Amino acid sequence: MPQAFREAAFLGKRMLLDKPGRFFATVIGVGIAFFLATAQFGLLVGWINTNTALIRHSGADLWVMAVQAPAFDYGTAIPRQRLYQARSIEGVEWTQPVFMGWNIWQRGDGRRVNIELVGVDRMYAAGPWMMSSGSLESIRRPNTVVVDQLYLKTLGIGRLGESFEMIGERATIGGICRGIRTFTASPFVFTSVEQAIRYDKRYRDDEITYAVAGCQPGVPVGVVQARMQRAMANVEVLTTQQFCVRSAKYWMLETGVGITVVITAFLGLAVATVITSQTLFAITHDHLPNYATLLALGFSRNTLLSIVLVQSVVLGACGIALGTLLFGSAAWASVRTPIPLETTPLVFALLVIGSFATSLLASLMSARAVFRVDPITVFR
Amino acid sequence: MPAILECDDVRKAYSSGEGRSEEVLHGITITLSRGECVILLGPSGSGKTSLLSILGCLLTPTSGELRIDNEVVDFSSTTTLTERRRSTIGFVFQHAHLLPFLTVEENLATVGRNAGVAPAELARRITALLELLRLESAAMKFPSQLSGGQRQRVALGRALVHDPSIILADEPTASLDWENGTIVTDMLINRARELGAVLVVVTHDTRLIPRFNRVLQMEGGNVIESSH
Repeated sequence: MPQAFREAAFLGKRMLLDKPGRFFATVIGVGIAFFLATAQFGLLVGWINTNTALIRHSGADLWVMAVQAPAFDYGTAIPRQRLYQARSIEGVEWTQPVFMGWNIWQRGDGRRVNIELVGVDRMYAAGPWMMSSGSLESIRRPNTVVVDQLYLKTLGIGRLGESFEMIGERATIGGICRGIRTFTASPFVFTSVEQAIRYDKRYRDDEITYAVAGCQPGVPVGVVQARMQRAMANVEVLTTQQFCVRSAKYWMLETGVGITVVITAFLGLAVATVITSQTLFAITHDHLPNYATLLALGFSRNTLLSIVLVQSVVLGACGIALGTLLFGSAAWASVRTPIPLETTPLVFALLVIGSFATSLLASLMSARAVFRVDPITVFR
Repeated sequence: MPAILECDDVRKAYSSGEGRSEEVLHGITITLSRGECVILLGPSGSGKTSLLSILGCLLTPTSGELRIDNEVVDFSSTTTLTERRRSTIGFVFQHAHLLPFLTVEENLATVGRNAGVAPAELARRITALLELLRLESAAMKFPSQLSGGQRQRVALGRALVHDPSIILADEPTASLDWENGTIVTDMLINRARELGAVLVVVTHDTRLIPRFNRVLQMEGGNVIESSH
C-alpha cells in the first residue's frame, strides 16, 4: 500500500473517530438500513425457497402438468394416462404421480382451516424430506396424513394418532415432518395419491395433478423433455428448474409481493446512502479547515480524496458488519417460524457490493467539497 | 551564501469585480540566502500575506518568477507545488492550525511521514524536537488540552520536523504574550540557523527586529529593504 494511502487511511479513521458519538450513530444508521435491505431480500429468498421447496426436493427431473399451471399450488387435473405415457419415453428411468388440491380441514374445536392437500406415491416425490416424529410410510395406511410441525397449532393437532375430518372423511395423524412451510398460509397436508383423491371429490380416480419423472443417468434432461413434450398433447413438460422459476415468478411478480419487497430493499439501500452521505458531508464540512491545513503542509488532493474515500468505506464496512450481525440473528430466530429470512451467497454478495457502491456514492458530495478547499485559507 | 529563494519581478493582482483587477504586489524582487532570518514588516493590506503565500507555493503570481534552489517553480503544476510544500517548506501559521484529532506527537509524525522521513529518523527527530520545545510531557495530548503557547510550539515543531530549507511563519507570536512570543521566535531562529534554512517571519511586532539579521519592510505592495 503506498505511503500516501496509508497516511490517508490513518487520518481518515482518526477524523471519523474524532466524534465517536456521531460515528457510532452513523454506523447504527447504516447498519439498520443494510439490515432492512438484507431482511427484505432475505424475505424474498425465503419466500422463493418456501414456494419452490416441494418442487426442488422432489428428486424429479421433469414435471408433466396441465397447460399454463401457474405454480405448484395451482395445478389442475391431468389424465393419469400421462404418467404411463411419460414412463414409456426413451431416457426416462422412473415416474411418479403427484396430487395437489385445496381442501378443508376441520379441527377438533369445529373450526375449519383451508389446507393444501398433497398426494404422493411410493417414492414420496414432492413429499416431506425430513420427519420429526411418526413415519412417512404411514400415509400408505388408509385415512392417514402427515403434517408439518410448524402448523400443529393451526390445525389443532396435539399428538400423533389424533383424528380429524376432511370434508366428511377421517384423517389420522401418522407422522409429523419439518421444514415444509407454506407461502399461502394454508398448511400442506400429505397423504397418498389414492387417499388424496378420496378426500378431494372433484378428482376422478384416473386423474392426477402432476406426473414427475426422473431421467436415466447421463441422458440430457432437455432431450427427454423435448421427447416427452412431442409425445403428449394438452400438457406441459417443464424441468424442475423451469417449474421452480415459474412458481416463484407467479408468487413474486404476478401477485406483486416480490416487487413490494424489492422496492423496500432498495429503499433500505437508499436510506443507507442518505445517512452515509449526510454524515460524511457533515464530517468533511467540520474538517474543511483541517483539509486546508493538510493541503498547505504538502498533502496532495489525491490524499485528501483518499481520506474521504476511506471514511466512506469504513462507515460502509462497519454498517455492513452490524447489518450482517442483525440479519444473522434475525435469520436464526426465523428458522422455526412460517416466515423465514434466508439468503444465498450470491444475493448477499450483491447486497454487500451494492452497499459499498452506495457508500462510495455517498462520498461524492464530500469529495466535491474537499476538491474545492483552498489551502490559502490557512493564512486567514 | 547560495541563494535558496529568489523572487524576480513577482506581481499579484486580484480581481475586484466588473472586469477590473487590483495589483497588490508590484514587481517584488528579493533573494534570500541560506541561513538568512528575515523579518517581514508592514501595515495591514501591504501585501505581506500575499508574498508569503507565493513564497510558500500556495498562491500563483500573476507574473514574475519564483526560484527555489535555482529551479523555477512551475505554478501551473499542482504536483510540483505540492511536492515543494511537502519537502522544502515548513509553515507556521498565526493560529497554529494543528489537526485537532491527532496528538502532539502524531501532528508532527504525520507531516514527517508525508515528507518521506524514514520511521527511525522521524522518531529521533520528534523526540529531539519535543525536548527542544519543552513539550515532552505533552506528547500524547491533543491540541485542545494545550495552552496557546504550547500549541504554537507544536506548530513550530511541525514546521521543522522534515528539516525544510525554507521556513515561513505568519504572525507566529500574534496570539502569544511577549515571553512566549520571544521563546517561539528564538526557537525558530536558532533552528533555522542550525538547519541552514531561510526563515521569513511576518509580524507586526517591531520589538522582534533585533533578533533577525535582515529586515524587509512592505508598503503598498513594494518591498523596501531596511537594516537595523
